[in-house]
Amino acid sequence: MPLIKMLVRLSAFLGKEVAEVRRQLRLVFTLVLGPFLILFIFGIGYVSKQQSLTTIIVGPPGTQARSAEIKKQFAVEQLDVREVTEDLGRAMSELHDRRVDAVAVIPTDPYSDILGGKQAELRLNVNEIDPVKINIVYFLTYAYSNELNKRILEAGFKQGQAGLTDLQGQVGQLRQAVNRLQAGLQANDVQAVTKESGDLLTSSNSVLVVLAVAGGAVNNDQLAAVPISPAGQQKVDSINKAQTAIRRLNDNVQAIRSDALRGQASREQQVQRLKQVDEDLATLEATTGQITNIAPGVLVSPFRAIVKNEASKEDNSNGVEINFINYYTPAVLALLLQHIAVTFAALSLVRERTIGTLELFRVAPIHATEILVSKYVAYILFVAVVGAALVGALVSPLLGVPFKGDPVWFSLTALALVFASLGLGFFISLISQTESQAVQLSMLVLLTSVFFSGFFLSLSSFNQYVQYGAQGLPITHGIQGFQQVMLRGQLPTDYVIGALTTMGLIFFVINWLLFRRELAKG
Amino acid sequence: MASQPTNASSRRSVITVEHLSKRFGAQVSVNDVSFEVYEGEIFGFIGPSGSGKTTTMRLITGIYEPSGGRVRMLGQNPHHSASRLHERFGYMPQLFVLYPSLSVMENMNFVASIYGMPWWKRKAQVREALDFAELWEHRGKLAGNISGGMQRRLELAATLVHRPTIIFVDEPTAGIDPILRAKFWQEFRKLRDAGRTLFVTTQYIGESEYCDRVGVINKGRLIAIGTPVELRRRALGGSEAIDLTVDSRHTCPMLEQILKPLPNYRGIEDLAHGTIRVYVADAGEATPDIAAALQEAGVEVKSLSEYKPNFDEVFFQLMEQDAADHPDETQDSEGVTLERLERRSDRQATNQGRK
Repeated sequence: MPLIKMLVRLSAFLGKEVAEVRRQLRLVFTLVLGPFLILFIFGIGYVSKQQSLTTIIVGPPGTQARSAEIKKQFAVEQLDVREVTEDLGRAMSELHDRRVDAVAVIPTDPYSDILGGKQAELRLNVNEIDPVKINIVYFLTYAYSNELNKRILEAGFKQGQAGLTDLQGQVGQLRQAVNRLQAGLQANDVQAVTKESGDLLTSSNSVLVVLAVAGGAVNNDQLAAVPISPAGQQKVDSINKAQTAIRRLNDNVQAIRSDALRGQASREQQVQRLKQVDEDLATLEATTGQITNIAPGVLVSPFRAIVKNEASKEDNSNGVEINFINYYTPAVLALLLQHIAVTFAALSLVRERTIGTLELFRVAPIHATEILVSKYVAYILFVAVVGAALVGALVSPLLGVPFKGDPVWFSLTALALVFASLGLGFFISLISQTESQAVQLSMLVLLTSVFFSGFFLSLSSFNQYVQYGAQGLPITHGIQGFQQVMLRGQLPTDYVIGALTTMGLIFFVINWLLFRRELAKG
Repeated sequence: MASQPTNASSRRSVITVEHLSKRFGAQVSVNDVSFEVYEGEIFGFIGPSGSGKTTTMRLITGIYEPSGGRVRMLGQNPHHSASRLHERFGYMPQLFVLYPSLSVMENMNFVASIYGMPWWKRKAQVREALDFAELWEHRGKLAGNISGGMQRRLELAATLVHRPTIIFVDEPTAGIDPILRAKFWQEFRKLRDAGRTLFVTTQYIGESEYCDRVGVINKGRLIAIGTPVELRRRALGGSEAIDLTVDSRHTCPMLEQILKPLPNYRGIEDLAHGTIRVYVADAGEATPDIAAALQEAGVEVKSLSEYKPNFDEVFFQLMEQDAADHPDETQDSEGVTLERLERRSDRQATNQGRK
């Protein structure tokens, strides 16, 4: 009989809270639909396009006349070039009035700067107070300068490559020149030797530069640790061989030329050198074919990073479609469950106090523990119904949010989240004097949750102390658990459910002590 | 009106209060109060606002822990009692403390639940309590939408739903109309007649008449306790009074000379314009003696009747006596003002030789 009475007392608040909630449907809709709609609109309204800056390019005198060409050369994806002008004052005025995002100033004499051994400065003026946007500007500027440098190098290599293609023809001509050189040497014609060797040197120097770059791209410290395949080794060897050949060819032709000019070398020695030049040219003929096949873009940017996302449906058949709605849905769900639980619990005990029912409880055969447990059970059931309805709506074909994991584990995570959140809510209720105070504190919890739980900003963006503090919010663990189950199809880590349950138990004990004291003091 | 005075010695005491005190910081709300409440009586606890009525009730029901003294309800300390004691008494607070967003029936079910009454057992009791409070027809209405009087009745029904043997009712008639007030007392009497014990606080002094016994509290001190008849007698200094009207030529000293030899005579008071109040030991015995003595002295008596002061008078008289016994304290509660007490003191000055 005492057990039945206790069970009846435990059920007291179940019926009462359900009846009260039933009559406060507007409040429930506000609590559930309000934040849900805001975040839903954010989810579908947020366009994740790459940021670009509306820009005016200002150049030295003469720029205006070549504006179309400059626009083409300096416009990149990150800069939306509105116009090209020589009038820096007007451009800055536009920037000041925030009609453009940036003013890019082309250096007055980039050739002198570069050839003088210093980098030419391309100044980007902005007028921004938003620290996030400023970071984007820094990133865009970095990307912009990289892109320009790459373009310049690429164009240079293209032109260099054209020379390299000609070299194959020149090699043939060189062979003829070598023959003529041989004839000149046999005839002891110093003038002919000097001329032919001079032409040969000019051409071989340009080939040397291109080969040096191609060789540098694969022979450097950055790649030293990367293991190489036999086929790759063969190609690297070819480049190295060609580089060795062109350098030796240069040296020998230079020596022939010098000796001819000084008239010191023996005839046999010159012939010997010429024979070596001939062999090096043959090596060069065998390797330049491979070198010309390397695209300039590859020479400039030999490496390209490719992302393969195991969690993405695009790269893994078990993955999910990566988009903002899918990513934020578990977080929104966790936030809503926490918010509803905290708000209802926060208003619950403070309402009992303001209505005066605590006086009734003080004389009734009901204990603080029974009241608290009864309220926990009532609100857990209520939030469970709301949560199930929300999950059902989210994973329905209409919204199509993925749910890859085990519903049982999801329910356990949700239960632990609601248990901890109710604890937080009841704690707010017990320390609040009025309903408005409880509502304000609940809103503070909501704001704190949005900022510090990893909801919008990753937890790793904060210093370690804030990260430790964030562990005290139920939602921090709720988001991790829900994402783990819904999007990755994995079990929530022990830490998630453990942390939430521990938090819930700590709150329960604190609330029980506070409530028992309040009931006892009368 | 009130039932016959209770024979205290033959009744079982269900509430015992001994030297009870309660302090809130430096303020003493209840000061050395002792009394007993007997089974099956309506015990009225009367005093001005802020006199300590509600605090005493909260101490008896265990809401407050006493600062001194002790309370026993059905032999147990209510502040540290098991649930069983709480199931045996009901408490109706002064203010409406049920849920306005729940219906009358839902509120009743909730209260029944916190008293551990399973749904299959509570149906009849809920119906009985709502019928008693004449609210069965209104059971579907929201408690927030019914009138103030109905809310008080709902509270009474909620207090009775678990059929308590002792019922504490804190100022049940405060702020409600006289008809409903009378109805409440009618219901209390029905409960008393059914064997329940009622402890009722009120600041309406006239309601003392409805009680079997009354305790009068002032500034935390119990200043009088007894049946209404006993209190009335006590207010008149232990005497009874007879009011008579004579020709204004006959002065109070003249009449005193005539009546002084009578055996029941205690004193005389000139009320003004030929109206004289004579204090006697027993009004029933003294009335024919007075009439005869005056006739014999040639005094024409226009009217002669026993004076039964109403409870306002009794209350003020008791307050006045208390103020005289404690001259260092200032009465400042809203129920009895200093001005009114002073007025009463002026009248007392004319009351010569009452004792």
